[in-house]
Amino acid sequence: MNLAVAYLRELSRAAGDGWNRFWFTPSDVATLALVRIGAGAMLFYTHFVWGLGFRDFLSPEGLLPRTTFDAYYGANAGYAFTHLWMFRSPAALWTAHLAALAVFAMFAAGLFTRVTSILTCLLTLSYIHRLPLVLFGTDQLNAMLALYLALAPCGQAYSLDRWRAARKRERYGAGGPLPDAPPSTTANIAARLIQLHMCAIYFFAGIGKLQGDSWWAGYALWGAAANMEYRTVDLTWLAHVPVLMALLTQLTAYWELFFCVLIWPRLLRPLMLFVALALHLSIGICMGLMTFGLIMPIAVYAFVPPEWTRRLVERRPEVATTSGAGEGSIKSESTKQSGLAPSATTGRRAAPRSGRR
Amino acid sequence: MSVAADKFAAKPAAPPIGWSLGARVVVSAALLYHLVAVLIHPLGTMPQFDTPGAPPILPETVRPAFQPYITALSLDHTYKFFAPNPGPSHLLRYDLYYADGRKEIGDLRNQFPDKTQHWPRLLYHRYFMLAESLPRPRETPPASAPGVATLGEIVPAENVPRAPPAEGPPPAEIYYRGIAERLARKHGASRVDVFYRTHLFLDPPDLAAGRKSDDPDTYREQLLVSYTPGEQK
Repeated sequence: MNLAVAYLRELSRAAGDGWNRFWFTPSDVATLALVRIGAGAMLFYTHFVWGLGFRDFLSPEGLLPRTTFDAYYGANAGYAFTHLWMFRSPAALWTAHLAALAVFAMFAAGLFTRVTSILTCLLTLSYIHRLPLVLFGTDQLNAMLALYLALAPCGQAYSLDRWRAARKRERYGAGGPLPDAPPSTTANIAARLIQLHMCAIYFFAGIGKLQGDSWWAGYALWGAAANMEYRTVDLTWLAHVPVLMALLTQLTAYWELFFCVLIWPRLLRPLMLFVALALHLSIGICMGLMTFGLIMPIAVYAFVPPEWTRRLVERRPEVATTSGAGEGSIKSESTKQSGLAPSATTGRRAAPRSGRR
Repeated sequence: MSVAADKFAAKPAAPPIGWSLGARVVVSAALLYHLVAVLIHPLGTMPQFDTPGAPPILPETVRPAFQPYITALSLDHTYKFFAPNPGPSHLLRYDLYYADGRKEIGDLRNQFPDKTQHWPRLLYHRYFMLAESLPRPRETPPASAPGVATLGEIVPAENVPRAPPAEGPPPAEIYYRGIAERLARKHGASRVDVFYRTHLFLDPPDLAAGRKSDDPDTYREQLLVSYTPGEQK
Protein backbone atom coordinates (compact mmCIF):
# COMPACT_ATOMS: atom_id res chain seq x y z
CA MET A 1 0.00 0.00 0.00
CA ASN A 2 2.77 2.38 1.02
CA LEU A 3 4.56 1.52 -2.16
CA ALA A 4 1.50 2.37 -4.26
CA VAL A 5 1.02 5.68 -2.45
CA ALA A 6 4.68 6.52 -2.85
CA TYR A 7 4.48 5.67 -6.53
CA LEU A 8 1.41 7.84 -7.07
CA ARG A 9 3.02 10.71 -5.17
CA GLU A 10 6.16 10.42 -7.25
CA LEU A 11 4.09 10.15 -10.43
CA SER A 12 2.07 13.28 -9.70
CA ARG A 13 5.19 15.20 -8.69
CA ALA A 14 7.02 14.17 -11.86
CA ALA A 15 3.98 14.96 -14.02
CA GLY A 16 3.63 18.39 -12.42
CA ASP A 17 7.32 19.15 -12.83
CA GLY A 18 7.27 17.94 -16.40
CA TRP A 19 4.18 19.98 -17.22
CA ASN A 20 5.74 23.12 -15.74
CA ARG A 21 9.00 22.56 -17.55
CA PHE A 22 7.29 21.82 -20.83
CA TRP A 23 4.96 24.81 -20.85
CA PHE A 24 6.37 27.43 -18.53
CA THR A 25 10.10 27.52 -19.13
CA PRO A 26 10.87 30.92 -20.67
CA SER A 27 12.27 30.59 -24.12
CA ASP A 28 14.19 32.71 -26.60
CA VAL A 29 11.94 34.01 -29.35
CA ALA A 30 14.37 33.51 -32.24
CA THR A 31 12.70 30.43 -33.73
CA LEU A 32 9.23 31.92 -33.54
CA ALA A 33 10.52 35.06 -35.19
CA LEU A 34 11.63 33.04 -38.22
CA VAL A 35 8.30 31.20 -38.23
CA ARG A 36 6.63 34.63 -38.18
CA ILE A 37 8.54 35.73 -41.28
CA GLY A 38 7.62 32.55 -43.18
CA ALA A 39 4.00 32.47 -42.05
CA GLY A 40 3.58 36.20 -42.57
CA ALA A 41 4.89 35.97 -46.12
CA MET A 42 2.58 33.04 -46.81
CA LEU A 43 -0.40 34.90 -45.35
CA PHE A 44 0.36 37.90 -47.50
CA TYR A 45 0.63 35.76 -50.62
CA THR A 46 -2.49 33.66 -50.02
CA HIS A 47 -4.56 36.76 -49.36
CA PHE A 48 -3.03 38.58 -52.32
CA VAL A 49 -4.30 35.71 -54.47
CA TRP A 50 -7.81 36.09 -53.01
CA GLY A 51 -7.67 39.55 -54.52
CA LEU A 52 -7.00 38.05 -57.97
CA GLY A 53 -10.28 36.17 -57.63
CA PHE A 54 -12.03 39.09 -55.99
CA ARG A 55 -15.34 38.92 -57.85
CA ASP A 56 -15.69 35.15 -57.66
CA PHE A 57 -14.65 34.73 -54.05
CA LEU A 58 -14.76 37.90 -51.98
CA SER A 59 -17.73 39.68 -53.53
CA PRO A 60 -21.08 39.08 -51.79
CA GLU A 61 -22.39 38.24 -55.25
CA GLY A 62 -19.62 35.73 -55.91
CA LEU A 63 -19.60 31.95 -55.95
CA LEU A 64 -20.04 31.84 -52.17
CA PRO A 65 -22.91 34.20 -51.36
CA ARG A 66 -24.46 34.74 -47.95
CA THR A 67 -26.92 31.87 -48.48
CA THR A 68 -24.00 29.46 -48.88
CA PHE A 69 -22.32 30.83 -45.77
CA ASP A 70 -25.49 30.45 -43.69
CA ALA A 71 -26.14 26.95 -45.01
CA TYR A 72 -22.58 25.86 -44.36
CA TYR A 73 -22.36 27.02 -40.76
CA GLY A 74 -25.99 26.48 -39.81
CA ALA A 75 -26.51 27.08 -36.11
CA ASN A 76 -22.82 27.95 -35.70
CA ALA A 77 -22.90 30.89 -38.13
CA GLY A 78 -22.78 33.31 -35.21
CA TYR A 79 -19.37 32.00 -34.17
CA ALA A 80 -17.89 32.17 -37.67
CA PHE A 81 -17.21 35.87 -37.43
CA THR A 82 -16.09 37.68 -40.55
CA HIS A 83 -15.79 41.38 -41.20
CA LEU A 84 -16.12 40.89 -44.94
CA TRP A 85 -19.93 40.87 -44.95
CA MET A 86 -19.88 44.43 -43.66
CA PHE A 87 -18.77 45.85 -47.00
CA ARG A 88 -21.42 46.00 -49.68
CA SER A 89 -19.72 48.10 -52.32
CA PRO A 90 -16.74 46.74 -54.26
CA ALA A 91 -14.74 49.88 -53.41
CA ALA A 92 -15.24 49.43 -49.67
CA LEU A 93 -14.42 45.72 -49.91
CA TRP A 94 -11.29 46.44 -51.92
CA THR A 95 -10.21 48.99 -49.34
CA ALA A 96 -10.70 46.47 -46.54
CA HIS A 97 -8.81 43.87 -48.54
CA LEU A 98 -5.86 46.16 -49.22
CA ALA A 99 -5.78 47.13 -45.55
CA ALA A 100 -5.62 43.43 -44.66
CA LEU A 101 -2.71 42.94 -47.06
CA ALA A 102 -0.91 45.85 -45.42
CA VAL A 103 -1.38 44.21 -42.01
CA PHE A 104 -0.01 40.89 -43.28
CA ALA A 105 3.00 42.64 -44.81
CA MET A 106 3.71 44.51 -41.57
CA PHE A 107 3.38 41.30 -39.58
CA ALA A 108 5.82 39.47 -41.85
CA ALA A 109 8.29 42.32 -41.59
CA GLY A 110 7.79 42.57 -37.84
CA LEU A 111 6.47 46.12 -37.76
CA PHE A 112 4.28 47.02 -34.74
CA THR A 113 4.20 43.27 -34.27
CA ARG A 114 2.33 43.17 -30.99
CA VAL A 115 -0.66 44.78 -32.70
CA THR A 116 -0.28 43.35 -36.19
CA SER A 117 0.09 39.78 -34.88
CA ILE A 118 -3.32 39.99 -33.22
CA LEU A 119 -4.86 41.71 -36.26
CA THR A 120 -3.29 39.05 -38.49
CA CYS A 121 -4.91 36.30 -36.44
CA LEU A 122 -8.33 37.97 -36.56
CA LEU A 123 -8.08 38.72 -40.28
CA THR A 124 -6.92 35.22 -41.15
CA LEU A 125 -9.84 33.66 -39.32
CA SER A 126 -12.20 36.19 -40.84
CA TYR A 127 -11.21 35.26 -44.40
CA ILE A 128 -11.35 31.56 -43.58
CA HIS A 129 -14.84 31.89 -42.16
CA ARG A 130 -15.97 33.86 -45.20
CA LEU A 131 -14.72 31.27 -47.72
CA PRO A 132 -15.58 27.85 -46.33
CA LEU A 133 -15.78 25.71 -49.48
CA VAL A 134 -12.55 26.73 -51.16
CA LEU A 135 -10.05 26.03 -48.41
CA PHE A 136 -7.39 23.35 -48.09
CA GLY A 137 -4.40 22.41 -45.95
CA THR A 138 -2.55 25.69 -46.47
CA ASP A 139 -5.41 27.59 -44.89
CA GLN A 140 -5.53 25.25 -41.92
CA LEU A 141 -1.84 25.85 -41.30
CA ASN A 142 -2.19 29.60 -41.88
CA ALA A 143 -4.89 29.81 -39.24
CA MET A 144 -2.97 27.69 -36.78
CA LEU A 145 0.23 29.70 -37.10
CA ALA A 146 -1.55 33.06 -37.02
CA LEU A 147 -3.33 32.03 -33.83
CA TYR A 148 -0.26 30.83 -31.96
CA LEU A 149 2.03 33.60 -33.18
CA ALA A 150 -0.46 36.15 -31.87
CA LEU A 151 0.20 34.78 -28.38
CA ALA A 152 3.94 35.32 -28.48
CA PRO A 153 6.23 38.34 -28.69
CA CYS A 154 7.36 37.08 -32.08
CA GLY A 155 8.45 40.52 -33.22
CA GLN A 156 11.27 40.65 -30.71
CA ALA A 157 13.81 39.23 -33.12
CA TYR A 158 14.49 39.58 -36.84
CA SER A 159 11.98 42.37 -37.22
CA LEU A 160 11.61 46.01 -38.12
CA ASP A 161 10.57 46.56 -34.51
CA ARG A 162 14.04 45.41 -33.40
CA TRP A 163 15.71 47.49 -36.06
CA ARG A 164 13.78 50.56 -34.94
CA ALA A 165 14.63 49.87 -31.30
CA ALA A 166 18.32 49.55 -32.19
CA ARG A 167 18.20 52.83 -34.11
CA LYS A 168 16.51 54.55 -31.20
CA ARG A 169 19.10 53.21 -28.80
CA GLU A 170 21.85 54.45 -31.07
CA ARG A 171 20.24 57.86 -31.41
CA TYR A 172 20.03 58.34 -27.66
CA GLY A 173 23.58 57.12 -27.20
CA ALA A 174 22.71 54.22 -24.93
CA GLY A 175 25.84 52.50 -26.15
CA GLY A 176 26.49 48.94 -27.21
CA PRO A 177 24.36 46.67 -29.33
CA LEU A 178 20.73 46.10 -28.53
CA PRO A 179 20.54 43.07 -26.23
CA ASP A 180 18.36 40.08 -27.07
CA ALA A 181 14.84 40.27 -25.81
CA PRO A 182 14.56 38.36 -22.54
CA PRO A 183 13.35 34.76 -22.70
CA SER A 184 9.59 34.66 -22.70
CA THR A 185 7.12 32.17 -21.27
CA THR A 186 4.50 33.05 -23.87
CA ALA A 187 7.06 32.41 -26.61
CA ASN A 188 7.57 28.96 -25.17
CA ILE A 189 3.82 28.31 -24.91
CA ALA A 190 3.28 29.40 -28.51
CA ALA A 191 6.10 27.18 -29.77
CA ARG A 192 4.78 24.24 -27.75
CA LEU A 193 1.29 24.73 -29.15
CA ILE A 194 2.62 24.72 -32.70
CA GLN A 195 4.66 21.60 -31.95
CA LEU A 196 1.74 19.70 -30.42
CA HIS A 197 -0.66 20.83 -33.12
CA MET A 198 1.76 19.59 -35.78
CA CYS A 199 1.99 16.26 -33.98
CA ALA A 200 -1.81 16.02 -34.05
CA ILE A 201 -1.95 16.93 -37.74
CA TYR A 202 0.60 14.30 -38.73
CA PHE A 203 -0.92 11.67 -36.45
CA PHE A 204 -4.40 12.05 -37.91
CA ALA A 205 -2.97 12.30 -41.42
CA GLY A 206 -1.17 9.00 -40.78
CA ILE A 207 -4.01 7.22 -39.01
CA GLY A 208 -6.42 8.31 -41.74
CA LYS A 209 -4.20 6.63 -44.31
CA LEU A 210 -4.35 3.36 -42.37
CA GLN A 211 -8.01 3.20 -43.36
CA GLY A 212 -7.08 3.04 -47.02
CA ASP A 213 -6.10 -0.17 -48.74
CA SER A 214 -3.95 1.72 -51.25
CA TRP A 215 -1.67 2.94 -48.46
CA TRP A 216 -1.34 -0.60 -47.07
CA ALA A 217 -0.79 -2.15 -50.48
CA GLY A 218 1.68 0.54 -51.52
CA TYR A 219 0.08 2.11 -54.58
CA ALA A 220 -1.48 5.23 -53.04
CA LEU A 221 1.22 7.41 -54.57
CA TRP A 222 -0.11 6.37 -57.95
CA GLY A 223 -3.28 8.28 -57.13
CA ALA A 224 -1.20 11.45 -57.03
CA ALA A 225 1.05 10.57 -59.96
CA ALA A 226 -1.84 9.75 -62.29
CA ASN A 227 -4.09 12.61 -61.21
CA MET A 228 -4.06 15.16 -64.02
CA GLU A 229 -5.64 17.94 -62.00
CA TYR A 230 -2.97 17.86 -59.31
CA ARG A 231 0.21 16.86 -61.00
CA THR A 232 2.71 19.38 -62.28
CA VAL A 233 5.51 16.85 -62.84
CA ASP A 234 4.84 13.65 -64.75
CA LEU A 235 5.49 10.78 -62.35
CA THR A 236 3.65 8.11 -64.29
CA TRP A 237 7.01 6.41 -64.88
CA LEU A 238 6.52 5.12 -61.32
CA ALA A 239 4.21 2.52 -62.89
CA HIS A 240 7.37 0.80 -64.13
CA VAL A 241 9.00 0.79 -60.68
CA PRO A 242 6.27 -0.49 -58.36
CA VAL A 243 8.76 -1.24 -55.58
CA LEU A 244 9.83 2.40 -55.44
CA MET A 245 6.19 3.52 -55.51
CA ALA A 246 5.37 1.19 -52.61
CA LEU A 247 8.41 2.32 -50.65
CA LEU A 248 7.56 6.02 -51.02
CA THR A 249 3.89 5.36 -50.26
CA GLN A 250 4.55 3.49 -47.08
CA LEU A 251 7.36 5.75 -45.92
CA THR A 252 4.95 8.67 -46.19
CA ALA A 253 2.23 6.93 -44.17
CA TYR A 254 4.51 5.63 -41.44
CA TRP A 255 6.52 8.84 -41.21
CA GLU A 256 3.31 10.79 -40.63
CA LEU A 257 2.03 8.26 -38.13
CA PHE A 258 5.19 8.19 -36.01
CA PHE A 259 6.19 11.83 -36.37
CA CYS A 260 4.56 12.62 -33.01
CA VAL A 261 7.00 10.26 -31.29
CA LEU A 262 10.17 10.51 -33.34
CA ILE A 263 10.40 14.31 -33.46
CA TRP A 264 11.12 14.64 -29.73
CA PRO A 265 14.50 12.85 -29.28
CA ARG A 266 17.17 15.41 -30.07
CA LEU A 267 19.23 12.92 -32.01
CA LEU A 268 16.40 12.16 -34.42
CA ARG A 269 15.06 15.69 -34.71
CA PRO A 270 17.36 16.93 -37.51
CA LEU A 271 16.58 13.79 -39.48
CA MET A 272 12.83 14.22 -39.01
CA LEU A 273 13.06 17.88 -39.96
CA PHE A 274 15.03 17.02 -43.07
CA VAL A 275 12.47 14.39 -44.11
CA ALA A 276 9.67 16.91 -43.49
CA LEU A 277 11.39 19.41 -45.75
CA ALA A 278 12.04 16.84 -48.48
CA LEU A 279 8.55 15.35 -48.30
CA HIS A 280 6.67 18.62 -48.39
CA LEU A 281 8.80 20.27 -51.04
CA SER A 282 8.34 17.15 -53.20
CA ILE A 283 4.57 17.40 -52.76
CA GLY A 284 4.73 21.08 -53.54
CA ILE A 285 6.76 20.64 -56.71
CA CYS A 286 5.16 17.49 -58.07
CA MET A 287 1.53 18.21 -57.21
CA GLY A 288 1.40 21.95 -57.73
CA LEU A 289 0.77 22.50 -54.03
CA MET A 290 3.68 24.83 -53.42
CA THR A 291 1.95 26.89 -50.74
CA PHE A 292 1.19 23.74 -48.76
CA GLY A 293 4.66 22.41 -49.52
CA LEU A 294 6.16 25.52 -47.92
CA ILE A 295 3.81 26.20 -45.02
CA MET A 296 4.27 22.73 -43.54
CA PRO A 297 8.08 23.07 -43.20
CA ILE A 298 7.55 26.59 -41.86
CA ALA A 299 5.33 25.18 -39.11
CA VAL A 300 7.64 22.26 -38.46
CA TYR A 301 10.46 24.75 -37.99
CA ALA A 302 8.93 25.44 -34.56
CA PHE A 303 10.74 22.29 -33.43
CA VAL A 304 14.11 23.89 -34.04
CA PRO A 305 15.65 25.03 -30.74
CA PRO A 306 16.10 28.82 -30.64
CA GLU A 307 19.86 28.61 -30.18
CA TRP A 308 20.08 26.61 -33.40
CA THR A 309 18.24 29.46 -35.06
CA ARG A 310 20.64 32.03 -33.57
CA ARG A 311 23.58 29.98 -34.79
CA LEU A 312 22.02 29.55 -38.20
CA VAL A 313 20.97 33.15 -38.74
CA GLU A 314 23.56 35.07 -36.76
CA ARG A 315 26.48 32.63 -36.88
CA ARG A 316 26.62 32.73 -33.11
CA PRO A 317 28.87 30.25 -31.33
CA GLU A 318 27.27 27.20 -29.76
CA VAL A 319 26.01 27.71 -26.22
CA ALA A 320 25.08 25.18 -23.57
CA THR A 321 21.40 24.44 -23.51
CA THR A 322 18.85 23.81 -20.85
CA SER A 323 15.25 23.56 -21.90
CA GLY A 324 12.26 25.44 -23.23
CA ALA A 325 10.63 25.02 -26.61
CA GLY A 326 12.84 22.69 -28.53
CA GLU A 327 14.79 21.86 -25.36
CA GLY A 328 17.23 24.45 -24.86
CA SER A 329 16.90 28.06 -25.30
CA ILE A 330 18.05 29.87 -22.33
CA LYS A 331 21.26 30.69 -20.69
CA SER A 332 21.08 32.90 -17.70
CA GLU A 333 19.21 35.96 -18.76
CA SER A 334 21.84 38.38 -17.51
CA THR A 335 24.75 36.73 -19.27
CA LYS A 336 22.78 36.39 -22.43
CA GLN A 337 21.75 39.98 -22.48
CA SER A 338 25.24 41.16 -21.81
CA GLY A 339 26.49 39.22 -24.79
CA LEU A 340 29.05 37.54 -22.52
CA ALA A 341 27.73 33.98 -22.52
CA PRO A 342 30.74 31.65 -22.54
CA SER A 343 30.88 29.19 -25.36
CA ALA A 344 30.28 25.63 -24.24
CA THR A 345 32.72 24.32 -26.78
CA THR A 346 35.57 26.76 -26.36
CA GLY A 347 35.02 28.16 -22.91
CA ARG A 348 35.75 31.59 -24.34
CA ARG A 349 33.38 34.46 -24.04
CA ALA A 350 31.49 35.28 -27.17
CA ALA A 351 32.53 38.41 -28.99
CA PRO A 352 30.19 41.37 -28.61
CA ARG A 353 27.42 41.10 -31.15
CA SER A 354 26.97 43.45 -33.99
CA GLY A 355 23.38 44.24 -33.19
CA ARG A 356 21.90 42.22 -36.04
CA ARG A 357 18.55 41.02 -34.78
CA MET B 1 37.79 14.49 -12.49
CA SER B 2 37.56 14.77 -16.23
CA VAL B 3 35.19 17.16 -17.93
CA ALA B 4 33.15 14.26 -19.24
CA ALA B 5 32.82 12.77 -15.77
CA ASP B 6 31.80 16.17 -14.46
CA LYS B 7 29.04 16.31 -16.98
CA PHE B 8 27.40 13.22 -15.55
CA ALA B 9 28.19 13.78 -11.91
CA ALA B 10 26.43 17.11 -11.59
CA LYS B 11 22.73 17.28 -12.26
CA PRO B 12 22.08 20.32 -14.45
CA ALA B 13 20.33 23.13 -12.69
CA ALA B 14 16.59 23.14 -13.23
CA PRO B 15 15.59 25.88 -15.61
CA PRO B 16 13.60 28.74 -14.13
CA ILE B 17 9.85 28.40 -14.39
CA GLY B 18 7.95 31.49 -15.40
CA TRP B 19 4.80 32.85 -13.79
CA SER B 20 3.14 32.35 -10.43
CA LEU B 21 1.32 29.16 -9.46
CA GLY B 22 -2.08 30.83 -9.89
CA ALA B 23 -1.25 32.04 -13.38
CA ARG B 24 0.07 28.62 -14.32
CA VAL B 25 -3.10 26.90 -13.10
CA VAL B 26 -5.35 29.23 -15.11
CA VAL B 27 -3.22 28.96 -18.25
CA SER B 28 -2.94 25.18 -17.87
CA ALA B 29 -6.72 24.88 -17.79
CA ALA B 30 -6.97 27.03 -20.93
CA LEU B 31 -4.29 24.94 -22.65
CA LEU B 32 -6.09 21.70 -21.83
CA TYR B 33 -9.36 23.09 -23.14
CA HIS B 34 -7.68 24.20 -26.34
CA LEU B 35 -5.86 20.91 -26.90
CA VAL B 36 -9.07 18.94 -26.44
CA ALA B 37 -10.75 21.29 -28.94
CA VAL B 38 -7.97 20.56 -31.45
CA LEU B 39 -8.57 16.82 -31.12
CA ILE B 40 -12.37 16.70 -31.10
CA HIS B 41 -13.02 17.13 -34.81
CA PRO B 42 -10.52 14.60 -36.14
CA LEU B 43 -11.50 12.15 -33.40
CA GLY B 44 -15.17 12.66 -34.11
CA THR B 45 -14.91 12.00 -37.84
CA MET B 46 -16.10 8.52 -38.59
CA PRO B 47 -13.83 6.27 -40.59
CA GLN B 48 -15.30 4.97 -43.82
CA PHE B 49 -15.61 1.37 -42.78
CA ASP B 50 -17.90 -1.05 -44.57
CA THR B 51 -20.45 -1.18 -41.79
CA PRO B 52 -21.81 2.26 -40.90
CA GLY B 53 -22.02 2.94 -37.22
CA ALA B 54 -22.97 5.61 -34.75
CA PRO B 55 -20.65 8.62 -34.40
CA PRO B 56 -17.78 8.15 -31.94
CA ILE B 57 -19.28 8.49 -28.47
CA LEU B 58 -16.62 10.42 -26.59
CA PRO B 59 -15.95 13.35 -28.97
CA GLU B 60 -19.64 13.73 -29.76
CA THR B 61 -20.51 13.85 -26.07
CA VAL B 62 -18.16 16.70 -25.28
CA ARG B 63 -18.49 18.51 -28.63
CA PRO B 64 -21.34 20.88 -27.58
CA ALA B 65 -19.10 22.47 -24.95
CA PHE B 66 -16.43 23.10 -27.56
CA GLN B 67 -18.27 23.74 -30.82
CA PRO B 68 -18.40 27.57 -30.62
CA TYR B 69 -14.67 27.63 -29.84
CA ILE B 70 -13.91 25.13 -32.62
CA THR B 71 -15.87 27.17 -35.15
CA ALA B 72 -14.45 30.52 -34.05
CA LEU B 73 -10.85 29.33 -34.26
CA SER B 74 -11.36 27.18 -37.34
CA LEU B 75 -10.35 23.94 -35.67
CA ASP B 76 -12.88 21.81 -37.55
CA HIS B 77 -10.44 19.84 -39.66
CA THR B 78 -9.88 16.11 -39.97
CA TYR B 79 -6.29 16.42 -41.33
CA LYS B 80 -6.88 13.36 -43.50
CA PHE B 81 -4.82 14.48 -46.45
CA PHE B 82 -5.32 12.03 -49.35
CA ALA B 83 -6.91 9.55 -46.96
CA PRO B 84 -8.26 6.99 -46.80
CA ASN B 85 -7.32 6.63 -50.49
CA PRO B 86 -6.39 9.17 -53.14
CA GLY B 87 -9.47 9.33 -55.30
CA PRO B 88 -10.56 10.76 -58.63
CA SER B 89 -10.68 14.51 -59.19
CA HIS B 90 -13.89 16.47 -59.25
CA LEU B 91 -14.57 19.45 -61.46
CA LEU B 92 -17.45 21.73 -62.31
CA ARG B 93 -18.48 22.48 -65.87
CA TYR B 94 -21.29 24.74 -66.97
CA ASP B 95 -23.36 25.36 -70.06
CA LEU B 96 -24.66 28.83 -70.81
CA TYR B 97 -27.85 29.79 -72.64
CA TYR B 98 -28.44 33.39 -73.68
CA ALA B 99 -31.68 35.28 -74.24
CA ASP B 100 -30.73 35.95 -77.86
CA GLY B 101 -30.57 32.24 -78.56
CA ARG B 102 -26.79 31.77 -78.35
CA LYS B 103 -25.54 28.75 -76.45
CA GLU B 104 -22.21 27.65 -75.00
CA ILE B 105 -22.59 23.92 -74.56
CA GLY B 106 -19.76 21.50 -73.84
CA ASP B 107 -17.16 24.28 -73.88
CA LEU B 108 -14.34 23.13 -71.65
CA ARG B 109 -13.24 26.71 -71.01
CA ASN B 110 -16.38 26.93 -68.91
CA GLN B 111 -14.93 24.72 -66.23
CA PHE B 112 -13.54 24.93 -62.69
CA PRO B 113 -10.61 24.60 -62.43
CA ASP B 114 -8.99 25.47 -65.74
CA LYS B 115 -5.22 25.72 -65.97
CA THR B 116 -5.42 28.06 -68.93
CA GLN B 117 -7.48 30.67 -67.06
CA HIS B 118 -6.79 30.21 -63.39
CA TRP B 119 -3.32 31.42 -62.55
CA PRO B 120 -1.30 31.51 -60.32
CA ARG B 121 -1.51 27.95 -59.19
CA LEU B 122 -3.03 28.89 -55.84
CA LEU B 123 -5.96 30.53 -57.64
CA TYR B 124 -6.37 27.38 -59.75
CA HIS B 125 -6.42 25.42 -56.53
CA ARG B 126 -9.18 27.60 -55.07
CA TYR B 127 -11.47 26.75 -57.98
CA PHE B 128 -10.39 23.13 -57.73
CA MET B 129 -11.27 23.01 -54.03
CA LEU B 130 -14.70 24.47 -54.76
CA ALA B 131 -15.45 21.47 -56.95
CA GLU B 132 -13.82 19.05 -54.51
CA SER B 133 -15.56 20.43 -51.42
CA LEU B 134 -19.10 20.40 -52.74
CA PRO B 135 -21.31 17.68 -51.33
CA ARG B 136 -20.89 14.82 -53.73
CA PRO B 137 -23.65 13.15 -55.66
CA ARG B 138 -24.20 9.68 -54.28
CA GLU B 139 -22.66 7.73 -57.07
CA THR B 140 -20.56 8.14 -60.15
CA PRO B 141 -22.49 6.75 -63.10
CA PRO B 142 -20.71 4.14 -65.20
CA ALA B 143 -19.41 5.28 -68.55
CA SER B 144 -21.92 3.05 -70.29
CA ALA B 145 -24.93 4.65 -68.59
CA PRO B 146 -27.27 6.22 -71.14
CA GLY B 147 -26.80 9.94 -71.47
CA VAL B 148 -23.55 10.15 -69.53
CA ALA B 149 -21.49 12.88 -71.11
CA THR B 150 -17.81 12.49 -71.80
CA LEU B 151 -15.11 14.99 -72.63
CA GLY B 152 -15.90 17.15 -75.63
CA GLU B 153 -19.31 15.69 -76.26
CA ILE B 154 -22.12 18.14 -76.72
CA VAL B 155 -24.87 16.77 -74.55
CA PRO B 156 -27.54 19.20 -73.40
CA ALA B 157 -28.69 19.04 -69.82
CA GLU B 158 -31.95 17.33 -70.75
CA ASN B 159 -30.00 14.25 -71.78
CA VAL B 160 -27.69 14.09 -68.78
CA PRO B 161 -28.86 12.29 -65.66
CA ARG B 162 -29.58 14.65 -62.80
CA ALA B 163 -27.34 13.82 -59.87
CA PRO B 164 -29.13 11.96 -57.12
CA PRO B 165 -29.43 13.86 -53.84
CA ALA B 166 -26.03 14.58 -52.36
CA GLU B 167 -24.80 12.83 -49.28
CA GLY B 168 -25.18 14.71 -46.06
CA PRO B 169 -27.46 17.55 -45.06
CA PRO B 170 -29.64 19.61 -47.44
CA PRO B 171 -27.33 22.62 -48.09
CA ALA B 172 -26.04 21.01 -51.29
CA GLU B 173 -28.80 22.60 -53.38
CA ILE B 174 -28.06 25.99 -51.84
CA TYR B 175 -24.37 25.70 -52.73
CA TYR B 176 -25.14 24.66 -56.31
CA ARG B 177 -27.59 27.50 -56.73
CA GLY B 178 -25.12 30.05 -55.34
CA ILE B 179 -22.57 29.01 -57.95
CA ALA B 180 -25.12 29.05 -60.77
CA GLU B 181 -26.38 32.51 -59.77
CA ARG B 182 -22.87 33.93 -59.95
CA LEU B 183 -22.23 32.32 -63.35
CA ALA B 184 -25.51 33.63 -64.77
CA ARG B 185 -24.71 37.14 -63.55
CA LYS B 186 -21.09 36.99 -64.72
CA HIS B 187 -21.96 35.87 -68.24
CA GLY B 188 -25.35 37.56 -68.58
CA ALA B 189 -26.91 34.18 -69.32
CA SER B 190 -30.60 33.44 -69.17
CA ARG B 191 -29.96 29.86 -68.08
CA VAL B 192 -27.01 28.04 -66.56
CA ASP B 193 -26.60 24.29 -66.22
CA VAL B 194 -23.86 23.22 -63.79
CA PHE B 195 -22.40 19.75 -64.10
CA TYR B 196 -20.34 17.73 -61.67
CA ARG B 197 -17.47 16.08 -63.49
CA THR B 198 -15.60 13.15 -62.06
CA HIS B 199 -12.20 12.50 -63.61
CA LEU B 200 -11.11 8.96 -62.90
CA PHE B 201 -7.41 8.15 -63.06
CA LEU B 202 -6.05 5.22 -64.97
CA ASP B 203 -4.37 2.19 -63.46
CA PRO B 204 -0.76 1.47 -64.43
CA PRO B 205 -1.71 -1.37 -66.80
CA ASP B 206 -4.13 0.93 -68.65
CA LEU B 207 -1.42 3.54 -69.06
CA ALA B 208 1.09 0.92 -70.17
CA ALA B 209 -1.44 -0.20 -72.78
CA GLY B 210 -1.26 3.28 -74.31
CA ARG B 211 -4.35 4.91 -72.86
CA LYS B 212 -4.17 8.62 -72.01
CA SER B 213 -5.01 10.18 -68.66
CA ASP B 214 -7.55 12.44 -70.36
CA ASP B 215 -9.23 9.82 -72.50
CA PRO B 216 -12.90 10.72 -72.86
CA ASP B 217 -14.11 7.67 -70.99
CA THR B 218 -12.18 8.71 -67.87
CA TYR B 219 -14.78 11.46 -67.32
CA ARG B 220 -18.28 11.11 -65.86
CA GLU B 221 -20.76 13.94 -65.69
CA GLN B 222 -23.92 14.58 -63.70
CA LEU B 223 -26.19 17.59 -63.76
CA LEU B 224 -26.16 19.42 -60.44
CA VAL B 225 -28.46 22.32 -61.14
CA SER B 226 -30.26 23.99 -64.02
CA TYR B 227 -30.77 27.62 -63.07
CA THR B 228 -32.81 30.35 -64.69
CA PRO B 229 -32.44 33.84 -63.15
CA GLY B 230 -35.61 34.98 -61.48
CA GLU B 231 -36.99 31.51 -60.91
CA GLN B 232 -38.43 30.67 -57.51
CA LYS B 233 -36.07 28.97 -55.09
